[in-house]
Amino acid sequence: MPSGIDLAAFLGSSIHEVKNHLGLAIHKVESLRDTSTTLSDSDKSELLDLQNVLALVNSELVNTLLVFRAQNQLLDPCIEEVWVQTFLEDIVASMQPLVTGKPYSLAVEGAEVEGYFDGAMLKNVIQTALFNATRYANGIIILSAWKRGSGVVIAIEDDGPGFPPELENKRGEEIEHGNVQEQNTGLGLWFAQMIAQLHRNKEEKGFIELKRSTKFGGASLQIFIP
Amino acid sequence: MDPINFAKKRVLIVDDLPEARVGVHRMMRDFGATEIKAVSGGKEAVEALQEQSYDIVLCDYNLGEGKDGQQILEEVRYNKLLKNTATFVLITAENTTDMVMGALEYAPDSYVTKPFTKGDLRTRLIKLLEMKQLLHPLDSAIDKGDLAAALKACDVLAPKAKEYAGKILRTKGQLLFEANMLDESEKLYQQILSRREMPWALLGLGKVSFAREDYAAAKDYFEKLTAQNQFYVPAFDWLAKCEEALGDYQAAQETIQKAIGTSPKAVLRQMELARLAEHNQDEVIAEKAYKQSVNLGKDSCYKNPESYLGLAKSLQYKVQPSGDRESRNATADALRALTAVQKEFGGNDKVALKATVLEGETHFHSGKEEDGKKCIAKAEDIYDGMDDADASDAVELAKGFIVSGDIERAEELIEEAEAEGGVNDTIAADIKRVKLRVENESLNNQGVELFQAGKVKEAVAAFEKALEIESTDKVTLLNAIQVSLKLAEKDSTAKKTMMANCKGYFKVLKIRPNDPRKERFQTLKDMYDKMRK
Repeated sequence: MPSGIDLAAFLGSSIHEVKNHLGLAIHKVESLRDTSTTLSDSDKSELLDLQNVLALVNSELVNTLLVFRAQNQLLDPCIEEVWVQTFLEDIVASMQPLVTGKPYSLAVEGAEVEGYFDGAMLKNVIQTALFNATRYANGIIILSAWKRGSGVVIAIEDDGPGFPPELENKRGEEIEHGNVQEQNTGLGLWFAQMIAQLHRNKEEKGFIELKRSTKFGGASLQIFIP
Repeated sequence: MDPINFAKKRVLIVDDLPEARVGVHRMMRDFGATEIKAVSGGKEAVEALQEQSYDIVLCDYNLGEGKDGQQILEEVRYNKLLKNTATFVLITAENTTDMVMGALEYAPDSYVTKPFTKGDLRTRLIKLLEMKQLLHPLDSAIDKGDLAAALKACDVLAPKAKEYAGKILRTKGQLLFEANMLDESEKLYQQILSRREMPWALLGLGKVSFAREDYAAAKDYFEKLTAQNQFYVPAFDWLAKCEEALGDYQAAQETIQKAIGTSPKAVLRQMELARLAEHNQDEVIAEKAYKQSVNLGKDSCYKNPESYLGLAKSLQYKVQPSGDRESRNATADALRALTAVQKEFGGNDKVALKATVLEGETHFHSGKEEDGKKCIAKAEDIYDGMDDADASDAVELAKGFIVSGDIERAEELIEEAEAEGGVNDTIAADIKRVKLRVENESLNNQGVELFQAGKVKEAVAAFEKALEIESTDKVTLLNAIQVSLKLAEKDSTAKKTMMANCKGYFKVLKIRPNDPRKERFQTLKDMYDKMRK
């Protein structure tokens, strides 16, 4: 590789370009689906799937960039006050195409709390978790949040089979590398833990916890941000 | 609360990509908006806002050449073309907040990340417009400049708008600070910080300490912030201010350079760097920073004559009578900047005076004495014709006479300036500098003459004296090294002292690789290294 190339800058602007193109593609698919009078319902459903694939590609791209930056000490969270209810509703709205016409529901239930975190980073964590949840959920995916100490817990719960036994009740830092690589959801969890632990307040550090949902019986991914 | 009705909102879309413009336009129309204008860049956006007011501005961050979205925001809020009650949304391609941190003073109401769907945009806009509706009493008080009403609105709204409590507190802290109610502002920030370390509250406390001239305390706050987040640019800006106030110009320059690494497009920050680099005699950086501030300042609210004048001044180190290519380019660049500034700020005598003096200086440095003298004479005419000439103008003209070698006339002018009164701290410091410059120049001239006459020992003494006056002047340092080495060569009894002195000079002397004096520096350094063995 020629010297003097700033890989972070290159990746940044390259991903920026790809995202621009993705944006245009998503707009086109969306408007075709909305305005076309000749498409059949099954065509429209195909287009919806295409739109979701594009969204997933986008999310993966951003995660790649974030991980790259974190590994190179180029990622510092920008802490803001976030009203979690609004924040989660925003995410749910952006994920609507994922559940449109599908036999499950995606909603926010009880998140009237304030959190302090980098909204852009957490949004990506939650989106990734939702993409994963749609693979396992039977009918329900619910987002919620509550206070813990001076921090906040954001939970993504579903009614699917839940986490594998060897992962259940584990915290992010306890999940071994081997475990992560064998699981489909592994990289998402690793990413979530990485972003969570970047958040600190006084002595506390963020982390994720893998639980069984008491309400729905499936997985409950809980993200604690101090 | 009234439901949001897009039909009543005037919408401005700014994006350089036609497809994106059309896409967002269609979305807004689907939401019910009827008055929609879409433009491709910053210039057009500002023109549109000058023509009429808008309620919603949807602006892409990356607009290719020219201004970015953040700069447009600064421009229109600074010039009050966009009210605080209006909504400005910055559309970005990245999910990270890096570029966001570049915002010095003006933040958009929200960011929307590409790619987004119609649903995303609709949800976001409705939420934002509801917020604007709720916070209307506060925003409109700020628009009117009614501080008391704005503070009252903060207190009334905070308990009613739980969702925006943090935002309201933050605004209140800023309002208190602007009203110079430092104790109240400090109390608010400390309350926030007792619960958690919010960056804006730390920044606020630092600013309060700075306003109280407690620079060491302020520096601690800003250092804490920069350690927490390497992209939080305002903290770097303020840290540099503290370092400068504490006298550490070198540190201040390095801090601003870090901020510029993250956020290079802000005119004011480039100006700060240029000013600090000029003070540190780091001409290479000063030249670059002035060039940037001229280019970035074009069509901007921050366009100012100082950038142009500073650029011309910073180029002088390259201008030489030898007239090699680099020197010719620098001469042309300097003269071009001086012509431009007089054209852009025509009718401003003070600017014309400064520009003409610098023009003369450029000619002198390039060996065209006749042209130089003409310019200084012209500058004197401008000065004499000024009705409102003050001490600072006299000092400017004096600088011209120093370059033309008319030290007496320069001294007269400075005496005049001092006698006239109206000499504030800045001008007094300038006068002091000019006086030192005069002394230094004459000692340097003496030194050169003595050296040429073979009186090496006396020449050394002259340059040593010149360095007592301006210990970091590069030309003097180079001269001092040259004659000291000569003396060391000639006189073995003086060698030890001369070599020790040279060691000290090299420690102070910093010449960057693309400085034209690099060659002379290297020759002397080689000679010194050889003699040391």
